[in-house]
Amino acid sequence: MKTTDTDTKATQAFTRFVKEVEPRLSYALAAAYGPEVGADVTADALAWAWEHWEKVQIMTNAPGYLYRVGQSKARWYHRPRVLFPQVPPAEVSGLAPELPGALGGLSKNQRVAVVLIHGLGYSEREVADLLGLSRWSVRTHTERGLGRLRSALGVTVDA
Amino acid sequence: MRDVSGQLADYFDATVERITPEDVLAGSEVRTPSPRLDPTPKHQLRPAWAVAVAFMTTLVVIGGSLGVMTLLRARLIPAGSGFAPIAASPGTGSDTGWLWVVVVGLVIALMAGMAGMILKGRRTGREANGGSTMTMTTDKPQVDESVQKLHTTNRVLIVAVVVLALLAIGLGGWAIYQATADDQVAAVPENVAALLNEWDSANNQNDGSVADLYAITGYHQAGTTRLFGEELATELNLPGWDHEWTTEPYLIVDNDDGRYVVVRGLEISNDSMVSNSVFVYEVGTDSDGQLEILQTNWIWEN
Repeated sequence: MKTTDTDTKATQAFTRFVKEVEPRLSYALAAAYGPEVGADVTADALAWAWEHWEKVQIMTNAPGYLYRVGQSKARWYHRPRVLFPQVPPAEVSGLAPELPGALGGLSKNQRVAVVLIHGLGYSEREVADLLGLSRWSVRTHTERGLGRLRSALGVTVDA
Repeated sequence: MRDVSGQLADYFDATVERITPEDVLAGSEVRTPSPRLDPTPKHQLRPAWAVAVAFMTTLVVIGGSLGVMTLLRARLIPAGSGFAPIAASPGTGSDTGWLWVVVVGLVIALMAGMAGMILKGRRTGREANGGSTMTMTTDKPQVDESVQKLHTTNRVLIVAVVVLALLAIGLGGWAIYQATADDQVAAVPENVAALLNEWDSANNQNDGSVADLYAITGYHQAGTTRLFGEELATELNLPGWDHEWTTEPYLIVDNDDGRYVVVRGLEISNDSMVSNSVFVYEVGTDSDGQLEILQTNWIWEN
């Protein structure tokens, strides 16, 4: 009975953990490796977290560690020829057709930084922890990535 | 044009598959793969890569072994030590040896390509039948997932590499054996050996009978001098000189038309000097099937 209670608590704690960490991890790995592989390696990383929950739950930077786990898993996946597929206009309107190609033209860190900071509103500190970089490096990646995206999309002012 | 931030948010909201805690927990408990967690097929052995890797591995291993053997042999025979044993059997020279390396490499590459295609066919067949080439890696919570996944997904590749390595090692050993076996001299045919023994006996008699063993046009060449008929015995058995065979006869040419070339080490000496030399016989077959010596040549060190 005691074991069952412990399991239940662990499950609840892990559920809270996933709800908190998963969005950042999913979007970061999708930005890094494309939505297809990103979803797979996010699932892999979270499954790994559950298997090693005793270790993960006391980590000071578990999202950053799981991002590394996702990176390791990604090595074993075939990358699709097109990392970022087009989205039909019927699903989402107002997307520039050049956006997927422009994303593919950025470096991995630039994509993650721009998507998390400018697309999803995460802070530089959170992204720096995730990527294992300094805030200044993240800022540099963000500025360069954003500049290249604007240039590719023909956007002069990010209103 | 919309701002970049909005487009990014919309694009990733539309394309990113979200993972729920329930997905993860369910995946760790049940073995049935879920479509969401079924990973993309991972690195597999591709026929083209198998062919390329097998061919290059064979060339490197066998070619390298032959190269090392050649270098070692060159070092083991010191320069200026007289003659080296003449490798004999026709068609086993180094030129054809390298050709064999390429041929063996192509055969192994072909086998590897066929194995790769068979494996690929099986994989495709499983996928066509609705099966998955992958297994869920979250269904064994007691095992380190990363290790489990590596073992599962790369088993075919590892087995293929091991098999190719074993083949390459085996062929490398075979190539080394062949390179060593090249030192084995082809045996001189009995009728040719008998003729040469007869020639030796006649020569030792110093009565000119040795000339009977030569063809009419045959001659003995010593240096730049050609000697015919009775001059042969005088030249071959010079007074004051002793001779002693230092090697067995080596057959270096055996044509199908009854022509043979045999060489043999010879040491000549007198009271003041000893000289190592090589004696060369060219033996032919006349229209009656009789073996005759077409010419002999004596090469000595000055």
